[in-house]
Amino acid sequence: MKKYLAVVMEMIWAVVLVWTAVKINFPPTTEQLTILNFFNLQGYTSLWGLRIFSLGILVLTMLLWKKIVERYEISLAKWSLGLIITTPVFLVLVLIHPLVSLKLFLLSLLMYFGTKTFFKKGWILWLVMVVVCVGFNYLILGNRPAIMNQFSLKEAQNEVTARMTEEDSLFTKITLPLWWRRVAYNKYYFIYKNAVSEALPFWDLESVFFQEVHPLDQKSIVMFYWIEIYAFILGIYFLVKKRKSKLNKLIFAGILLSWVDFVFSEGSSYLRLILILFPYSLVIASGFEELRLMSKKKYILAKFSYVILGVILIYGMSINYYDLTVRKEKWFDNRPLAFQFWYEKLAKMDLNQYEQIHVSALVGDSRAYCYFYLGKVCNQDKFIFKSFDLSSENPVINSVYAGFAGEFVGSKFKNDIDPNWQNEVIKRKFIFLESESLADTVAYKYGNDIGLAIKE
Amino acid sequence: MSKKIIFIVFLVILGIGAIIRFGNLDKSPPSLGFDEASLGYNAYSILKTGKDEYGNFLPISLRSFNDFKPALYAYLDIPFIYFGGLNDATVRMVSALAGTVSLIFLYFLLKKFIKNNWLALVSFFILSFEPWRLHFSRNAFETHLSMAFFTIAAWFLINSKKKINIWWSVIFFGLAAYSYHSARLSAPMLLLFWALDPIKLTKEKNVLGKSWSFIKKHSKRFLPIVGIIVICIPIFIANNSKLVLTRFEQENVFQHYAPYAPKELLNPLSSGYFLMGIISGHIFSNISSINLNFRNFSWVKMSPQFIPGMGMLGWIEGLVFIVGFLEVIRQIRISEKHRFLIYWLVAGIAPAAATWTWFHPLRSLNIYPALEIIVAIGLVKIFKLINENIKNRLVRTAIFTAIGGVFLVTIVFTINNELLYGAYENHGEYQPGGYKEGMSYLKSIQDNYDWVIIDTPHAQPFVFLMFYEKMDPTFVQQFANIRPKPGITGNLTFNFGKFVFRKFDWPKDKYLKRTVFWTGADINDNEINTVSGAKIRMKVNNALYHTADIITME
Repeated sequence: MKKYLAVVMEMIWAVVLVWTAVKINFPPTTEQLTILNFFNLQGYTSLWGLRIFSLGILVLTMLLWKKIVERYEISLAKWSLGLIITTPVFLVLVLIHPLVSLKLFLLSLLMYFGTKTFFKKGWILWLVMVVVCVGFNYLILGNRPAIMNQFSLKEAQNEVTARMTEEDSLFTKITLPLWWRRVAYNKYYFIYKNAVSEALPFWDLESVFFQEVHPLDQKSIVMFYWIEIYAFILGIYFLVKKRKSKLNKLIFAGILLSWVDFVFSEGSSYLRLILILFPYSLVIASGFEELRLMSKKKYILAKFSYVILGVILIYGMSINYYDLTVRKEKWFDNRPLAFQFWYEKLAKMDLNQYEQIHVSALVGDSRAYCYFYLGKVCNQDKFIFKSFDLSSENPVINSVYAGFAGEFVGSKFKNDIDPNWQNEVIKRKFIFLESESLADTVAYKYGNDIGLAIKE
Repeated sequence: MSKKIIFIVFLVILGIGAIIRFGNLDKSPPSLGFDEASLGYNAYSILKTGKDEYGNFLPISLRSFNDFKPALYAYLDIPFIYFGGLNDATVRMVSALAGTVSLIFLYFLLKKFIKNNWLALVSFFILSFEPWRLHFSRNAFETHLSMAFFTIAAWFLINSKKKINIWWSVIFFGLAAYSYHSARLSAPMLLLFWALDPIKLTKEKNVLGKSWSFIKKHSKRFLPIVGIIVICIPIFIANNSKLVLTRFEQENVFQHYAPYAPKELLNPLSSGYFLMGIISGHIFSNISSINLNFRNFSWVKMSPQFIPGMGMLGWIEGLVFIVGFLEVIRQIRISEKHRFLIYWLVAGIAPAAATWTWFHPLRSLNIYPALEIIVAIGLVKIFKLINENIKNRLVRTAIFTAIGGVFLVTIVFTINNELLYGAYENHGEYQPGGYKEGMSYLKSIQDNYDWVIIDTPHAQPFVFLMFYEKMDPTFVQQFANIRPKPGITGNLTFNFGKFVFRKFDWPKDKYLKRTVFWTGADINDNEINTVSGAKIRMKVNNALYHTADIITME
């Protein structure tokens, strides 16, 4: 009976996942375009093919992870699996991150077969995984981690000099001996200080558990629902009681690997923290599992907590998945949405009748998006893929311009663009076709509005 | 012999700590914030007249900027002002003293958790120079005084085998509650947790039934809660209780975030879900390592609490905290004192969780010693791990030397950062310099003029005028009725006597006679000097740059 119930729940979840993915139908990211263009593929069918591939390798990853966990603690495997696949970040990996999904798959493969075959000693396997992880970040994902910039002696020396100059510029100040100041104000200590400041943000509960209500409105994806932090704390309590268990070692090694991955990667915090999903899910799983067992033994408080946590968690899942469909531009990188807007409008137009077609490249590789949406027509010379500034350039007659508001009316400090900027464009003898507002674009100084206009 | 040496080393660390806390308080931070000036001026006013700046006789809460500050800090400041005069240093002396005294009790508490005397001493040395501990000792904050009393109270409570200590703890909790708002909730909560020991009860199947029978059986353990409530009653009776809650009304989480959920998801269920998420976030932000390490939120950056580049604890201590926290959790089943640390954290965080700011050390400062003890537990744990697992003595020594070296240099950095760089960074709106440097000159000439017009971008500028001119309190008190009424918040500037606070408007103002201007506006010297009777009397510099001009019109 329980087995059937589990299958039914898995089926329901698969439907929810697919339905949400289809409803979101997010346009391709640069990461996906690079792969599609590599295989000379275009259009949404190819994109969904890539997504099904991502889903496939993630499903395999999760099955491997389940098998790995079962070697340590059978009861936690399903919990851990369930916690990971129900988090919004799992869906986002399927939708837009095929390469990161591949990285997770490679690591799980290495871990699953590594312990069985090549590596008898765990720490050697751990080192190999570190090398694979960092190598993948550098070579495949093209990450250039910020920590690498912190090891420059010259930069550190400049920082020391600037700091001492600033302190000396005070009219009223405490005078401390130079040798004393030099003890800490030297390039070696500043390198240490700066390197530490790159590594410490890994220990950030807000990014992992409180993305739904993040105090800095940080652009990222929900990794764990906030309610899960209570299970996390309970999990810590139950795990630390089993002092030298193998599971604890697995969790510890997983957290360390995630930390290295974080330090040697760049991008959104959910991508840098992605590996933490696995060890943390075990801690949360432990919290839930122990609560479940205690409920069975008729502990009133445990039963009450188990039900409350469960109900809030299910509500959290449903509202967050719904949220992904209604606030796409808040959660996702909104650059692909801008290209989708421009190229889907252009696709409906007869482009042969225009002299030139200018499409902004302010926030990404416009040509790659053109191939995706319009195909080989993009090879024509009339297509110009670069940012424009119609406040200072003379527009070409009978040409289409697609870009950010600031590209039509001039960039403004702090995105301070006139809300009626379209009228200004019309005054300059443009036929204004359509505009849309995207929340929080990365086109700094160019506004949140995007538009399409034709110069008569 | 060993005990004597330990005591001497303890005294040396305490002595260094005291020197760094008391030294050059007039120079760094470079000038007072408005809250500091208000505490100082009210202490001065009570010293001279027995009444605060509004004419309230021996108040329990200072109306100040209609935020009803607990008045204990001001009372304790009176002896310093009496002997040292009203100035930046004397206002901060109470905080420096509280910081030094709380160090003593921090050491006592550490000894309670760390059996090895030398490890306790090393931990004490490191913790004595934690960034926020140092920073709060050098600024006049009521919350810091409250933390000191809270620490003493906690020490008495944790040593409650001697019954009298419980009542000493109640008295010190009471003093903490009279020093800062948050202790009014934290203190009774901690006493309740101590009396009930709820974590111990969770192992019972019927937790409610067991709790009730425990309460009935040990009803005397709950008397201290009654004691602290009785002690706090005068706070609410002496002033209109609604006014005492003004601060809560200004800062509470419920009002600030309403309706809690994003508009696209808004319904009663989602509102509840997001509100619970926000409150949970507020709670856990206080133990989030990154916040303890170095993250400074904007609401801290724009305030005198800001320390450039550092958080509550040092960079590494924030990580060591995680190790200590795991160890505390491991011990809570078997050790009452470890459970006490968790209760201390929860009780200290509770008032902060109810305010709108995500993580604000000022609101949860009472937990600071508990955090430090957890760090110390983590340090000891790491020491033991290295000791047990690294057999080679040379390697072990090298590791300890490296770790010790990093901590030592970090302490030097923290001191430099606090005394020097902090002074450079913290001279913005909340530490408005220039008043200290220019007000004595203004005072020397203002009697010759009919009007003094002050134009400044800083909030509550009148308090700096009162403070640095050491204005006669009886003169200030007569304007109490024209000042913004209780309930009104924000900038409470008011004009009184010959002092007018408004924008400097030279095209019109150049026709005024017998007037002094204090202006922070950009002025053209030639334009001033060409007007007959106008003269720039002083170019006022703050600690870093030219900030204002004093202009007279004959």
